[in-house]
Amino acid sequence: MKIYLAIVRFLTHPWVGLVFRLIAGIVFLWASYDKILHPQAFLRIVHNYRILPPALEPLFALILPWVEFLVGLFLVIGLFTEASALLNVGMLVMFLVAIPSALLRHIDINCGCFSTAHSVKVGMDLIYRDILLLIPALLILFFPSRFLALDRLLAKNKGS
Amino acid sequence: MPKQKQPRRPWKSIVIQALALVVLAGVMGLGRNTLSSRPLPLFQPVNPLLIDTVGVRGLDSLQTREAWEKHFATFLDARKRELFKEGHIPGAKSLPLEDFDNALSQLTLPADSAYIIYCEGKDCEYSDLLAQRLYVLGYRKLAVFPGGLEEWIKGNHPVEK
Repeated sequence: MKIYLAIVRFLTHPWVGLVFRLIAGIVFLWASYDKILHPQAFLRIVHNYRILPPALEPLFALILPWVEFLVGLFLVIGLFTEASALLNVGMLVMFLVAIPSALLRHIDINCGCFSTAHSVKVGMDLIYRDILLLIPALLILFFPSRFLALDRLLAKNKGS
Repeated sequence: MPKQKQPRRPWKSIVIQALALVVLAGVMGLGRNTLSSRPLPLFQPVNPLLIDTVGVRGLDSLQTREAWEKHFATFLDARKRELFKEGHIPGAKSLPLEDFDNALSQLTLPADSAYIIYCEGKDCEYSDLLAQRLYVLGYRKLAVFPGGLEEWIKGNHPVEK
C-alpha cells in the first residue's frame, strides 16, 4: 500500500507532470511538422489506410496535423491543458484503431506517424509505442500539472 | 500531494475547449491550404491517381538507392524535359507527363520490365500520374519514389546532366 501511495504521489507530482506534458507535447509537435509541410504526401498515406471515405480524406489530411500541432504546443506551454490532453488521448486511441486495422487487413503501408517520407511500416511496435504514449496523456488528463503552465497564470489573474 | 493544486475543470468545459481546439486547427489547416500555391481539392477524391495506383509501391530513399545500384529497375523521370536536362538520376529516362504519348513512343519500355518513377519531390504528383497512365497501359512492375530528386540529392547520390 505504501509503495502504491508513493507511486501515485510521484506520478501526480507537479514536476513529473511537467515532464509528461513536455514529452507528450514535443512528440506531437514533432509529429505534426512534416505533415503540415507536405499535405499531399500525408494525404497519400491517409488514403493508403483505406478507412475514411475518399471524399473526407483531404479534409482529414489537412486538419489532423494542425490538431497535433496545437495539442503539442498547448501541452508544452500548459494552456488548455486538459482539453489538449483529451485530444491527445483521442488521437492516440484513433491511431490504436487505425494501425491494427491496417495490420488485420494485411495492408502493407507506411505509418505516416512522424514523417511522410521515411517508410516506417505499420507493425506491432507502433502499437506498443502508442500505448506507451497513452500513459502520459491519461495522467495529464486526470492529474494536470499546472507547474510552469499558462493555465495557472490565467487562473491567478482571474482570481485576483 | 502538490499544495498549489487547483480544483479540476468540469468535464463539460474540457470537452468544449477540445472542440474549440479542433475548430481552430480546422481554420488553420484550411486557411493554409487556401493560401497554398498548390491547394488540395476538398470534398472530392483528390485525384484519381490516389485511387487507381493503389497497387503501386512507394519506395524510400534507401530502397531506391539499392534498386539503382543493382539495376533492379529502369528509372523514369516524370518531369518536364528541361528539368530532366538540368539534372536527373543517372541512367533515368525522360518520360515527361505533359508529352506522355509522344515520349513513350520514342522509348522502348517493355511492359514486363520494372520501373521506378520519380519527379521533383514529395509534393509533385507527376510520378503518381505517370504510374497511373502506365498502369492503364498494362505495366505492372511499377514503383514510385515519392521523395523524388530532392531526396536523392539530399542523400548525396550522384546526379547526371
